[in-house]
Amino acid sequence: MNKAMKKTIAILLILVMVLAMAGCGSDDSKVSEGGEKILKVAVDYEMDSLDPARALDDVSSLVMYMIYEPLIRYADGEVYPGVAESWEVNEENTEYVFNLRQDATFSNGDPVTANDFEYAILRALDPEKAYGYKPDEIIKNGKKYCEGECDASEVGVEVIDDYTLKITCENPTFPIEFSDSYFFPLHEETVEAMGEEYGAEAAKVLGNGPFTLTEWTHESKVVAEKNENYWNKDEVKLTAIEGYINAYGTTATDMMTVGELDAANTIYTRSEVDGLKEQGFTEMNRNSGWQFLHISYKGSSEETVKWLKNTNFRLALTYALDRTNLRDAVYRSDNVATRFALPGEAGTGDKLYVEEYPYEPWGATADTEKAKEYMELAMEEMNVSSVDEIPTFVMLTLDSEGNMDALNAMADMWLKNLGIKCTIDAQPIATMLDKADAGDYDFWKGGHDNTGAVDLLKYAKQYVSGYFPGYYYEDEAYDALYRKAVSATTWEERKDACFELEQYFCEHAIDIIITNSMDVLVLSGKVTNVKFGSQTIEYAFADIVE
Amino acid sequence: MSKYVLKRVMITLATVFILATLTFVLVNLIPGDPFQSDKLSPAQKERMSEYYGLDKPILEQYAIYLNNLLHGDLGESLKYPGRQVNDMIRETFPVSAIIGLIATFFSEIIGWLFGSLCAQYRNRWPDRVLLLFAILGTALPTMVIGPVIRNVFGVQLKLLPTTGWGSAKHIIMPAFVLGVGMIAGGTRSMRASMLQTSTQDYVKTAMAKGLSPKEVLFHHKLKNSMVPLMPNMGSTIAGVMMGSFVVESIFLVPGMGKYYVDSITALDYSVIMGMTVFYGVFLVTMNFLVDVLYGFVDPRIRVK
Repeated sequence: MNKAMKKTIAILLILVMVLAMAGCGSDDSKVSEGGEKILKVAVDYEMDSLDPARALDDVSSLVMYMIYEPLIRYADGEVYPGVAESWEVNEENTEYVFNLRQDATFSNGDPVTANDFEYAILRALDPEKAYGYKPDEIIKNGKKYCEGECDASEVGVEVIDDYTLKITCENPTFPIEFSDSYFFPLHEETVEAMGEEYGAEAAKVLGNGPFTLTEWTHESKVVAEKNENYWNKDEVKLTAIEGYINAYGTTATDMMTVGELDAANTIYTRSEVDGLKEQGFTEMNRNSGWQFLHISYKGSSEETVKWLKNTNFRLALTYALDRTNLRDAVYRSDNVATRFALPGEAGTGDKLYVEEYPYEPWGATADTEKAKEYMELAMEEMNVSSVDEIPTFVMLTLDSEGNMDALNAMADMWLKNLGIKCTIDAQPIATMLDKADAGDYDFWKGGHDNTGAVDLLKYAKQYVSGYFPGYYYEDEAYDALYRKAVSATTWEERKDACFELEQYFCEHAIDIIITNSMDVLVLSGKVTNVKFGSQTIEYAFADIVE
Repeated sequence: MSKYVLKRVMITLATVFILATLTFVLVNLIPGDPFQSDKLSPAQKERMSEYYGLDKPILEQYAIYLNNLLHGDLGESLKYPGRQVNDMIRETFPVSAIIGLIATFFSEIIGWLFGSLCAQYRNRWPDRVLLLFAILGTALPTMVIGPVIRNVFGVQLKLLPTTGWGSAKHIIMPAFVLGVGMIAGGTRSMRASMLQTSTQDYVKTAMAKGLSPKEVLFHHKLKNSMVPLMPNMGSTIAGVMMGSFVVESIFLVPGMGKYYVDSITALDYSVIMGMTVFYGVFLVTMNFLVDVLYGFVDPRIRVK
């Protein structure tokens, strides 16, 4: 090699090293690790926004519950005082007077007052803005104001004095519902100064929660440090929480193995979770929603929709499915759903709703006898003597392997047990959602995420006539039961009405429920006091014990 | 020469305009709606469309888009409210660019070395072994190599951090995984180019003059074999500097590739358009630079 060439290579190498150094900051995170407790958690994907009025995804909630505190806290089925020290409520559960604690402050030291809650609520409902997340269906006149039909002064939120806030609700409402991120206070001065960029960066957000956001490297890392101004700081044992964005699947497993993560709800395969448990990790579970086959009451054709509107036909389909088999083959980490428990696990008190109201409309395996009985009834009603006269149904889904496997398995079960034929229409996401919105299918494989649903009737609402485009389900009896549940004035009445609604739903097989999806949280053995909170996992009060 | 450069500038500008228009048209043809969330009611979706100007006539939207583009404003993300596409590019492009540059640098050096060796030992065992290695590098996708490398060096040997960004150590694995696939291309092009060069008269003359094979290789074959490889460098470097979705996902690197792909699934119109136009401008600029440099290196080009 001649001199000139050596020189060229040396220069190039130096250039590369300089470039490498230029691109990197220091390796030190903002919190030193010397004896301090830093919890490293997986964050599934990049947060939309940390502005409570604009965040629509679960991971934004995960971080928001570290840096904000709502009026009331909810964790593991219990409600705790948040910024509201206590509250009084009228008999109908529609008027709440919250007594706010006087030592609650924002992380900059400014006191949290009733005005900050009023500001946050009215801002979210602002008819001029198109905020996605707002309590328009909870607060009295919220919807009207939002649609420009009434004045802000008519909205059911009122500041009585700095530390007393009155909220009037549209329907009976329960304390658990005030743990929603609708009820985070906002620091008006900061929000107004940041304008549309509020919540988009670490330096552009100001909360009142146990932690303060100090770093948000987009698509990479988020760091929240203990808020020394938080009123209940003695209960906060961690020095900081570091969230690793996009740490999921095998990446999260590898990170947990080498100690780069302490907690992850982003490991999806059973074998990986079991492998980590063998290394001393622990597992926490919570029912997080349903997998179901949604029926379109508009249908793919006039012929199919006649059948889909026949209750006995739908019941035949429901009983012909072997859910255990499906779970074992496709939905491996789910539980078989033998009911459609609307409030999920959101019941408060000694027992969860599902325990208090035991119900099993269909079994864990197929009941072919019953399925055939319903099929005969349906054929009689439809004046058809042979299954060959029944049209072929279209199953719409996302074009991924798992979805196709699930639908193929279900189509096989229907063909074998009832002689019903289906074709699969697998589409990329945008086309699938378009078709779903237009109701252009017979069955659509979907999922409801019920993580910490504080609104017990969130999903029941979607089947109310005309509420949700693409469902086209119209049934006056169902609507009446829904209205009864919504206007139930006590918690007991609400649960009873939910149960009635659930029974009606199942007896009419309005949709075909398949499994209960599970949230699987894997934790390092040293981590304690992690809870399932409102909407998300509550890491804020966790501890690390050596 | 100045006429040649001016002509290239005009072509570059026209390309960018066509690209910007085409991106706008294609993005508007994608079915679906960017505000897909079960937390949004139809009325809310409508109001958000109105807020972001998506309800305006398509030609008006196009005019606004071009006007903003002329002012260097790529707009605000629809999925991440309050975040400007310009900021996203400013934050993520340097990350992807560094990994891309290092990956290109090493893979090209190794590719050229392998290619030269293959040509020197044509049809003998070093040629076959190196070609096999090159083919394996291309055949094994990064989504297979990545997790394996991460597991070996991060989990088993604990030599490098498994994921993350922030220190020089964090660059090694992603750059390596990104570069491996490119070594193959470099090897094959260099091999072909050098075999071609070997048959040239000046090489035969040099050998006839009695120069040693080493001297012929370094003084005549190597340099001349590199010239035909230059035109492709512009697009290769531009492509790799834009980031890789797979590599960034495996090693949790906050680069541009992931944003780019995610924006398409989320139908984040402004991010898709902004990043495509940025990529387009970067690509044509790189090609322009290579063309001009090529004009300097090889006088025959600018004469044409």
